[in-house]
Amino acid sequence: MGLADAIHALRTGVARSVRPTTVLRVTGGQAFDLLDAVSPRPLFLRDGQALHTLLLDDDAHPYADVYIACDDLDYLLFAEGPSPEALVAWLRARVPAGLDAELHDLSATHRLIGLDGPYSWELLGRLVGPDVVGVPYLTLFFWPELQGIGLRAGKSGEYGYDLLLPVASLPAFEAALAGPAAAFELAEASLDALDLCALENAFFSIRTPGVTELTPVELQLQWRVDRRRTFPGRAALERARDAAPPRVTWLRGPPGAPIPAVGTPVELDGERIGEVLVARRSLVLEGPVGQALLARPFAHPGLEVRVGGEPLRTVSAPVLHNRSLFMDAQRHAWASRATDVFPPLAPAWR
Amino acid sequence: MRDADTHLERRRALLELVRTVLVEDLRIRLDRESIDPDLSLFGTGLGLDSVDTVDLVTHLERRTGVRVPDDAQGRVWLRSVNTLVDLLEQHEGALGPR
Repeated sequence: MGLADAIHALRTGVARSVRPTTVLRVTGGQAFDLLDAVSPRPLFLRDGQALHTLLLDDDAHPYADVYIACDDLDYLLFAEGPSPEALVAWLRARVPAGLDAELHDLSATHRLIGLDGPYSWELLGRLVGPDVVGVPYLTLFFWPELQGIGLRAGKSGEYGYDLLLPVASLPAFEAALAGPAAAFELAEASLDALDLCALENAFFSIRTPGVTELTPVELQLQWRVDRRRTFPGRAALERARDAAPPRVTWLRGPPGAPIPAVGTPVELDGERIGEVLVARRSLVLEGPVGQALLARPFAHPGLEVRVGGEPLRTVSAPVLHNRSLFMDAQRHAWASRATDVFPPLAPAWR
Repeated sequence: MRDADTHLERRRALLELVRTVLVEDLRIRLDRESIDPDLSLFGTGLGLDSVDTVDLVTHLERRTGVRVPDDAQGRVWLRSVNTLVDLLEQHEGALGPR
């Protein structure tokens, strides 16, 4: 399946993906203490709740993009970035020895499957049951028949669910999915498609080249850390704040405009104010979308800039009017999608 | 002064105003400088709920005189700190005395 089909499904229907996310189950009487030692956010979690944070290296650069979820007496760590072996070693090197806490790598025994799109809630309801439709964001849910655990999350700007399923349950999952998959024209989404959606919706992707050389101060991810806590990278983070470094700012270009290369200078009235961090062609906007690292005084939307000689504009993120933003489970359904009315996905260029 | 400088000066002032509403009125658990401009208000990001929304809209109107419409466009304005600034930027008197 091509990128265009995947994006179409992610933005107007539902798509499935297989996630390379590392998932660890943390058990033991001091599981909380282990995660509390490395989490930049406080683990104020009730059973079934999750939080979104980062694991930072000593230079305050993102090492992993993580959800930490409380599952009864255990914790689940969903991490994008490091391999299971690397993450386990990283954690063991940063927590006190002798803690009553065990790290269980679920990668050999489970698969993480994503369902994303404005109608993913409806398809999931057919699979798991209608109660799942009302599950709040960053909350676990359970699929007892398949011994599966789900997390409502997503990084596409649409409804999103991650299903953690035992490998032994995959045949039953495929059998259960077959009917709804056909009914909902379920597409397969690559990581590339998901990363494009993340870029359009201001979600951080640790796969974006260069971002692991930046700090949350540059990446607009300061909400993922709590300055009142002690955690790896905190001293470097404070130094970054004091330095007032450039800040990522979203760029958009007119339909048909060329896609600027990484590192292309961004100019305002002939003055260089930053450079392109990442840029791609948005299939929804039909033009360039990207992030630039701009000197802090200029890191605001609404600037008409030149990038490689082409006129682009700094914009507020998200850059789309996601259908999920307007979705109402009482009024909208896949079956009535042709007559349901939503604002255009792409805001007008002018 | 360039048009861009005037624009940036106004954006910075409006950003500070929205930060004030979030910190002083909604008492969120972030310091002002940690409230990045493209920080999402709901779901990921600040994670505000429906009660917070009412507070946010009420305090924003009290401080600026600008009302967030209760329609689809209103949902767009409420997506992030910057989209709220986008809304305020359209109202000449948003920074005026109350």
